[in-house]
Amino acid sequence: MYSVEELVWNDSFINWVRYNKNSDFWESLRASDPAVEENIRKAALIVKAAAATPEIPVEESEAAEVWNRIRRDTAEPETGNRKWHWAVASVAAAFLVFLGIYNYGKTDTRVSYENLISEVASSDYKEIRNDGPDPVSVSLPDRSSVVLYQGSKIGYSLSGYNREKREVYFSGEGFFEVSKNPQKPFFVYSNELITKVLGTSFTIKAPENSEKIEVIVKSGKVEVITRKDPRKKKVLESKELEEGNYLVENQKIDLERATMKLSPIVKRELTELNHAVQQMKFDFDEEPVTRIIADLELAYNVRISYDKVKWQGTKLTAHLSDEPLYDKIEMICKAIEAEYEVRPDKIVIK
Amino acid sequence: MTRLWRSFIAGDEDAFSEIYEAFFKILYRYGYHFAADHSLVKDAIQELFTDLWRLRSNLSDTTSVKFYLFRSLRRRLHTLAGGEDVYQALPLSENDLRGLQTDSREQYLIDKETEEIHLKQLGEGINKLTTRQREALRLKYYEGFTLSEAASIMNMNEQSVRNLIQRAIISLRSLLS
Repeated sequence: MYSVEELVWNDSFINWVRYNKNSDFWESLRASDPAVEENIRKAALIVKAAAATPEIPVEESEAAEVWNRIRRDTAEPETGNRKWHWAVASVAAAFLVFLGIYNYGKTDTRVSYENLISEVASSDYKEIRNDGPDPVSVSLPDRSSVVLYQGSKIGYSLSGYNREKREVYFSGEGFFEVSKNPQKPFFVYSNELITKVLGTSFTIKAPENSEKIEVIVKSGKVEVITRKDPRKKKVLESKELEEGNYLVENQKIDLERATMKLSPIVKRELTELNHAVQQMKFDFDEEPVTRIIADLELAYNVRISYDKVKWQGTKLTAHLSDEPLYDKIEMICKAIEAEYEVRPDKIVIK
Repeated sequence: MTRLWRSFIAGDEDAFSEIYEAFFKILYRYGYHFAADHSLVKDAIQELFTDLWRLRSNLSDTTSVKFYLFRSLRRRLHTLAGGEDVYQALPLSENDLRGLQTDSREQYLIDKETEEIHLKQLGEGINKLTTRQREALRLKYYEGFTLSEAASIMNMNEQSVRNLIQRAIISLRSLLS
């Protein structure tokens, strides 16, 4: 009758001691008889001790690190069946900056990424790099987002960003989606080029040691000057773009670094936008939520986790264009009355 | 978990990620006993999940996920250690034992001071058990595996594991008289 030896093998008893399950039964048994109570007391102590385990700390970052390695190892080659999504011509606001790769001798006018960031104390400088082959989505403090392509880096002053303006230092290729805020113009410093926008989306390609910078505007308004431009001070101070001196949708401009000459503004070629997010149209009429989320995952190379069964069959009309990633997610969440959460390796919609 | 496991076998990457999130820490804490080496445990978990994804179509949808993962991880660690039986059973500290004290809900029944003394004695007793006994206790009482699952994970027969636990309990019981 409920000896210590019997109790420690009893699963119901173990569950009571460990998880407080079946407590009605065990509490009343304990109250029934002092001898049984004593056995229960001892058996409970043994079960607790047997379940004791040294505390081994595990960091969240370790889980994320190993997960990234698993994802890399299990990545399956891209199949053709989703490609049509980005074959759609785009109307979203965006611009591109290309920095071509022709190496000439350096001259005094050259400004490197390192020169640019030397203005910011390193303890105050936040830098994000993408050395891997896959695009990485980065969210800036004002929720503007940047898709960084291979070999790219972006950084900003932790104390200065988003105070009076939003300034980022950039090298490589990135697709920017800037949240609209005319009060705080957004500046990208990439080598000798300064790109100014009030709120739009655009891509910059500025690989290190390249000879040509190209800016291609997908839509929206973008002003581009060189660091030597006599109007530089005014451009950096003002909260507007200079009338008649900005690029609009589907236009491009380039800078030859050796001569510091900006080209005339010309129409961009369709082939110059070669990444999914730069071309995708986020304009959905009665589209299944599952499709919309799949498009976002593809465009931004992020993972979005949600209950596929629950949202199966839900359709949504959403006219999204050049909002930053998290604004898009938020708009979708509002429409389907859900909430989202950002985790290290994915976005979870609940 | 069964639903999740089925979605995973069907190729759902979200289910895969959820299983990973649910088990990473549990596996890590168990695996750490074998190597006390962070990078080795991480490598073993990486391999485990990489193979899990690749071989998912061969998996049975009735498997207990936790059991499957533990058994695979232990085998991997066993191989990485060159076939040695390497469970190290790290010693319990005072802190680990303090967490076991009865919470206030039941306090009226138990003399707190006596419990503290007993737990301390039991902790010392546990630290004196063999590593196999420690592992068997952990699998049954901490991880909640059945005796046959524990035996399969430890690559022993069920009776041997029962004996390991039985002897451990007898020696712990003797500390409480």
